Amino acid sequence: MRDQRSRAQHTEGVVDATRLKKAYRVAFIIFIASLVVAGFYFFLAWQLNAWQMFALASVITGFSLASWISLRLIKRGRVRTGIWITIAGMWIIFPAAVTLIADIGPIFGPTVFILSYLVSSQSLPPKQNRRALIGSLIVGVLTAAIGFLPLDYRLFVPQIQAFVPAITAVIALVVAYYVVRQAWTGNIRARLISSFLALVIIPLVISGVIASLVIRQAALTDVYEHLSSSAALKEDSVNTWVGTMKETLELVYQEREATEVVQALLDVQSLPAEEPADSEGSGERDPEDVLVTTKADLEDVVERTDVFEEIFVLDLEGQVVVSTDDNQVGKFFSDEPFFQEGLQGEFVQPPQYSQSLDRFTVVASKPLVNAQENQGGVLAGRADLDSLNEIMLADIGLGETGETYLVRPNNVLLTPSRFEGYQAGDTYVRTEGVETAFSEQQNGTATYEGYRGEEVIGAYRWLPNLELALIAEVGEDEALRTAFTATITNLGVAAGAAVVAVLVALFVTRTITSPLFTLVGAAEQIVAGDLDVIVEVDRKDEIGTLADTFNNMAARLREILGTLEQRVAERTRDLEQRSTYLEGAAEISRAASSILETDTLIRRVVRLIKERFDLYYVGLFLVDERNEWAVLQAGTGAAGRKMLAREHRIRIGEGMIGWSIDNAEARIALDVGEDAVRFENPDLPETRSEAALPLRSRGWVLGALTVQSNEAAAFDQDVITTLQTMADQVAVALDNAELFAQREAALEAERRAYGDLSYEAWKQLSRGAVPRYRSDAPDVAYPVTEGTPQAERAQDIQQDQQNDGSAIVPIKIYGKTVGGIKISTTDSSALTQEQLTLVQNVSEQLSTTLESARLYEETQRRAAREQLTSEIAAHMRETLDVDAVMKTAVREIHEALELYDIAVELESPEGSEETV
Amino acid sequence: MKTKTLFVVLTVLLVLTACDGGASAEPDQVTVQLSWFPTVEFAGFYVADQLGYYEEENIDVNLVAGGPETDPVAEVFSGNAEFGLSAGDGIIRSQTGDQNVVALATIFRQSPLVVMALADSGIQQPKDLVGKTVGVISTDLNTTWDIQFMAMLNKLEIDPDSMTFVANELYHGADDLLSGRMDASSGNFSTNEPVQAEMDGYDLNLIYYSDYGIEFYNNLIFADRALIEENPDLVQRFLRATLKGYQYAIENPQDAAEQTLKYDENLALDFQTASMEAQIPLIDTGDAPIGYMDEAVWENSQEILLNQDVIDDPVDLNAVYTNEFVEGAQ
Repeated sequence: MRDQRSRAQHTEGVVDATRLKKAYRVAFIIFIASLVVAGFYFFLAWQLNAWQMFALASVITGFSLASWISLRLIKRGRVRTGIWITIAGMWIIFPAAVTLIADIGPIFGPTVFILSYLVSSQSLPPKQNRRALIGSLIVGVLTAAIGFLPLDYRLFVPQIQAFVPAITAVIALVVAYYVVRQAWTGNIRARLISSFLALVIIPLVISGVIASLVIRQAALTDVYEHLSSSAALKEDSVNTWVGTMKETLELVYQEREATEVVQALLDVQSLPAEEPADSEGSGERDPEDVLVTTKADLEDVVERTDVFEEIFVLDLEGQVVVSTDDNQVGKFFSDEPFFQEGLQGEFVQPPQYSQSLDRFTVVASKPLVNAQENQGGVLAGRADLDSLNEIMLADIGLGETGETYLVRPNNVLLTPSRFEGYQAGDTYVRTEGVETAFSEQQNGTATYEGYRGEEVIGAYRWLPNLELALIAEVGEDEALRTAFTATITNLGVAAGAAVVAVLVALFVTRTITSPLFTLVGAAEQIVAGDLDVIVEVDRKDEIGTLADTFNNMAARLREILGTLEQRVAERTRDLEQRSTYLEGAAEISRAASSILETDTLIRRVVRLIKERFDLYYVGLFLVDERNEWAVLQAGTGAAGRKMLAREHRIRIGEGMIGWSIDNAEARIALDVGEDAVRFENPDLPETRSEAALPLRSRGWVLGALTVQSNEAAAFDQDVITTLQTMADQVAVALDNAELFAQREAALEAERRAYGDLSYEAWKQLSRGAVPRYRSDAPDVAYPVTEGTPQAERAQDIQQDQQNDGSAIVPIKIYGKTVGGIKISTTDSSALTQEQLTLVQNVSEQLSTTLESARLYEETQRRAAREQLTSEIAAHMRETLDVDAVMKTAVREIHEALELYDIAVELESPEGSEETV
Repeated sequence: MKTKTLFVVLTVLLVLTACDGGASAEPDQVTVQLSWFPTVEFAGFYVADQLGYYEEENIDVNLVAGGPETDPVAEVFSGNAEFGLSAGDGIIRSQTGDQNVVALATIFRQSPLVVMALADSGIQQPKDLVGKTVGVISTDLNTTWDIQFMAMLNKLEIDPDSMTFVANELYHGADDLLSGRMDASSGNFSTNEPVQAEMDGYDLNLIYYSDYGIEFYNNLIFADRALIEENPDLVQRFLRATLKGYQYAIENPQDAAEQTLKYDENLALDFQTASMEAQIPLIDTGDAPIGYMDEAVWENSQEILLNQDVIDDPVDLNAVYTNEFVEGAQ
């Protein structure tokens, strides 16, 4: 395929793939159609057995072959050549058909134009297409024109005419198909409209065509039946009339009279007759008289019956012997069939022209025989054609053109035509109906060209006894006028429906697409940034829903964009507040943890909370020792001071504070009026929301914080969490401060106790020989034995600076003065602060060292004692004898302790104690 | 250039179509000796000539007018003409002599001969002629028309001596009757003088010979037996074209009259047309094809000739006429 394509490109330049596909499809359709048409035409040709149809069918078969070739060419990529072959073929077959078949020019002209242009427009490039258009136009006009050429050999094919609506319909459908197909690639509007049209027109066309065919066929059948029955009725009438003629002849002579007449005739002709059995009377009469009498009888019959214009008697020579018309007497009709046949039996001679009468007459005849079967002559009655004319001219109820007439075998019209200018006797009727009636001598119906040159529907009958063709005809136009009217009505209805469909399609399409366009416009506005769009579609359907949704979307977009800043600001504020809170909480925690003094802590915390959280009021309650009341420890503002002044307290379990302490949980009243537990505090009138936060530490509730805001719903969960965290830290800090105070006190007490002990030791030590050392020169230190120790004084004054340039710096151990350092300037000048600080430092070092030295001495002593004790114990363990042990013990203790007396005794079993 | 080519092709096609016989490209030269001066009675020939029916049959025809002095049988026998027109007696008589011509078709299938008299003359039947002066064609009573008249009188047993015969002279409408020379005029064609008389506004009484048993063919188309035997195809083609001409003429009386005028421009169109219309029932009787000859008529004719002593012995009627070519023309 690709090879072929590329080869094609090589041969015919760039071939559009789409065009190739289209062209192939078009050529294929044409090919199939041509096969169908060729088949149809062959069928018609076979039916009609007409060379024109065979020729046409052959031409179309040739065309089928050509379109097959073009199909092959297109498949190989030679689109242009292929399509041109197809088009040229159409340009040949349609005019050919018009030259062969009658009355199709006006329809085939437009058809060839539409078809060939359709083919070219689908498959040829624009320039070629223009050429094809012009060509199609010319061929179309030519084809239509050829239809008007007077070509005698043309075949009239009603079937083709009947199929013309179908052909037109097929063309219409093909056109509709392409229109719809092209519209399909367009927008919704085009698609909807074309769909509507297709939906309406295709069924309309199909039903219209079928209906018109059916109607036409039904009308035709109807007309055929009507004509057949009319013809049959007329034939009956004719036969009745013929019968009447025969009957009337029968009436002329009764048997007896006939015998008499025959005798007279025989007498007149001087012919021998068999002697009648009883002929008395008859023989007596003069035969001439008999014939005269007979004439009167005949005239009587003519008058009475009004069937014949003349009744006459012929002798055996064929000469008129008696006639009601004197002029006829003596004439010879020897060679006339009515005489020849009349000798044999009853006979009615077909209408015959009589020169002397200058008109057509019908003669009925019968033999004249007597009782002995002697033939005397022929009785004949001549009737004019008035009765036949009357019968034939009787209306058959088929409108203006419906008529019945009789035709003689020489194709001459016998009875008058309904139409001017067609005289009976010299109008030749060579129609299919007449010819068929004569050639086949049968009855039938057909549609053919009438004697006036117009299409007629006819029923023909062969009247054997009169050797006439009876024709009942009606103009096709008129007969099928109802059918035409119905078809036209159909077409009108179809056209009307199509118009309505177009209008409805336009309307419906509008109702669907115009809101869509509105929506599109609105969406574009939104795209352009205009959010103030409201789509006004007042509909309850899907489009209405779409519009509503669209409006909602727009509104939401507006809202989102409109509130975004506000929301950002709010959120920012929230975040700021949050961060302020957190900051505040952190600061308060820091403050709380840095302050060890409870009261300060509480005041500071309360104040900070109020400031940082921007509250109306903050108060802090602590639980009293008896765990009964929550006592206000600090409160902000004037209200706080007022309440502190009156020692505001709340029973635990009551109010929000009491509740939160009792339950160790925060309690929040976002709208103070609504909390059942809360007390209304007259000092805090502006409170709108309030939270009580328990101060929890180490499982205990120390008290509670009350935070109040003059805004409703000031505390969200975040704030409460922050506040609670802070409260917990405050509680811990408070707890810590408390613990710290307790520990300080305990330490103080301990230190004080330890300092007292050391001071006592030092006092005992100085009671013996208080060491005093003095240095008054460099590198000189000596004990002072005289003077009053001044340490006592230093104890009181701590640091005594004399104006005389001397000072005493106390030596303190655990806060107790155990001694002092007296310094004096050599020139009695005042001591500098530097000097004093130095001395104080030294003093401190000294006191530490002294204490260490004292503790060392004491430790050594304790060690010596322990050694002694262990020695004693060791000595005591050397023996296992109680007495020895006791003895050793006493001795050793005495020795060791250089005691004056020592006794060791054991307690008696009676409970006496051995006392030392 | 292309038009020229097309023209050539068409011409060739036409020529080929014309030569469908293939044998003779040259048309047959045919002379027809008519029995009388140009009149619509011969319309079939004129039409066939004018409308190219002879041409279609590849016949080049020469129509020669006749007159009282012309003997078509002699003309044909002598070879001056291939075909001629004559009454039945001429054909039958030719059988008795050397001249041997054969009737091929009849123009009138019924005898047009009438005795005409003015309506107020009281002459309605042949017997009414007794004691009257009657116009004849020739007072010798030897013309075919006079023979037939005599035959009628004879058949009706009317004595010819009971009436006076004078010769018709004017041959125009009722002129002879009006001249006062005669009470009635015999030997007239119903399609001629009576028609003219009627046109001139005279009421006539007509006595048709045929009503009184005188059946006679008065304008037979005949040919020499030799021609029929040698060239039946030509005879057939000629007759086909001629009968076609008559068929056209009876269907288009006006046009037939117009075609006739081409052979004698002095003829009156309205009369010729009326005459043609009057001929129609005689030419096309409806019970047989145009031109068809009935044996009964021939028998009748022979009988008349025998009775009138025109011939002495009966002839073989099968040799006198043939319907072969009429039937072949259908």
